[in-house]
Amino acid sequence: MLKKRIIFCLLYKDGYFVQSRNFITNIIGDANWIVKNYNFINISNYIDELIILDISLKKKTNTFLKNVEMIVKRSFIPLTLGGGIKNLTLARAFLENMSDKILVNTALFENHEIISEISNRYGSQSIIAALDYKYEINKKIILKNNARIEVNNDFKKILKFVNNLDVGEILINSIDKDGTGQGLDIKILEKLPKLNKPLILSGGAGNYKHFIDILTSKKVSAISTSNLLNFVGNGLKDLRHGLQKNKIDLPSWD
Amino acid sequence: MKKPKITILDLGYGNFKSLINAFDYLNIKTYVTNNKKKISSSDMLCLPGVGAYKTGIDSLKDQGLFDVLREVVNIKKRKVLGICLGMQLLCSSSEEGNIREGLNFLNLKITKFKSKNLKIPHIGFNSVKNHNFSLLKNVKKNYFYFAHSYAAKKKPLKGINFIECEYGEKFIAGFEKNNVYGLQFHPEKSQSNGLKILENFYKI
Repeated sequence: MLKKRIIFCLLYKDGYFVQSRNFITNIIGDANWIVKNYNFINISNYIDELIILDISLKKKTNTFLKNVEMIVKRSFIPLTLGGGIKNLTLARAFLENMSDKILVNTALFENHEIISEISNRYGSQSIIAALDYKYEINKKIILKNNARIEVNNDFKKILKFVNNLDVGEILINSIDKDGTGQGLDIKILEKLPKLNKPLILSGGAGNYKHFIDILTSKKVSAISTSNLLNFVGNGLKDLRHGLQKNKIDLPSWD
Repeated sequence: MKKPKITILDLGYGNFKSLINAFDYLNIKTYVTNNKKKISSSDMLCLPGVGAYKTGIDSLKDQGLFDVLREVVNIKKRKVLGICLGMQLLCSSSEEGNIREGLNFLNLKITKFKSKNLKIPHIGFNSVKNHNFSLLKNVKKNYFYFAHSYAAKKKPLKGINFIECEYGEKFIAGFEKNNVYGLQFHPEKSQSNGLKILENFYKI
């Protein structure tokens, strides 16, 4: 049986790792803080994958990649990098530096030709299409450019469009739930069109109970959480053990 | 005697850093090249791979590596390990892009996952069966990280040792035929279990 996945997501901004809440960020610490507080040799026993996103306004790719290397040097789990991928050059820089996958957001709408370019070269399994959405009165909207600009199209139509692109997985992130730790948006699962690619749900995960209902749904392959504060210390270990006790099919590494 | 090195074949996609990182951790020396002479004189080979089947085959052919690989593997009997697309390239053909000519060390055809309602690609950790597989010796857990849309479905001929996995249908997750080894999953991304596999390949 294919196992469910817990993905831990780190947000990098101008030299620091940050905590986001409804897309407003606060500095938590630098790479040394992460390495110290999230012992990555040990922590990879409790997560299945890692995503690291560069959300700096002015990107310094080499500095970002140095920070990434400090964190992943001794962990042998799948890695996704993302943030500002608009052309093949940055996609290559990521995929040729230990990243197995890249996460693409704005380019899905502005330059989706690069999706097939990347896919031809590295395979569609190397691309996660990520969508940020929020609820407005009577409707759901999707935003791009780090949730600053609304995509002018119907929610379902956008999802169908993305489902037909040459990507490997689809990640949907609730802006309303982002960083709240109050629970994931389970209602959204009934409002999605049929997707034939693995779906990753993100936004609002605070404790293991929030994961159970979502991971028992056949529609969801993985949950991503970027809540650094909720899962510090033994947080990720407790989360995994809590889920396994509740018969969620996750690999156990320890 | 000099410690043998693993030659990692550079197909031009630069996606071998994780593999080097894993071998580094195991204190195993690697050498990345697309040079025919270096490949021809290598101790053992590793063929990583991502992307489309055709891209991989074209890259091998354009660099003139097809014959060198056949010589090293068939005549010099050096060990070779193909990972993910690399494993598929060791087989005979693929439905992806309708490519008839693989390296053909094994007569296995690669086809797409077909069952309806199945999410494609097959991504994540999945378990494999058959523990007599030499690469799985002393490996504690039997699940590994997969990320692919095509796979070998038919069982290979008798005498070829293989491991199976299931995703909608059964498929070949790994094989060993004399000095030729293939893994559909990514050992370099499968935690300590995967590292043990890489170490086993080196020591066999």
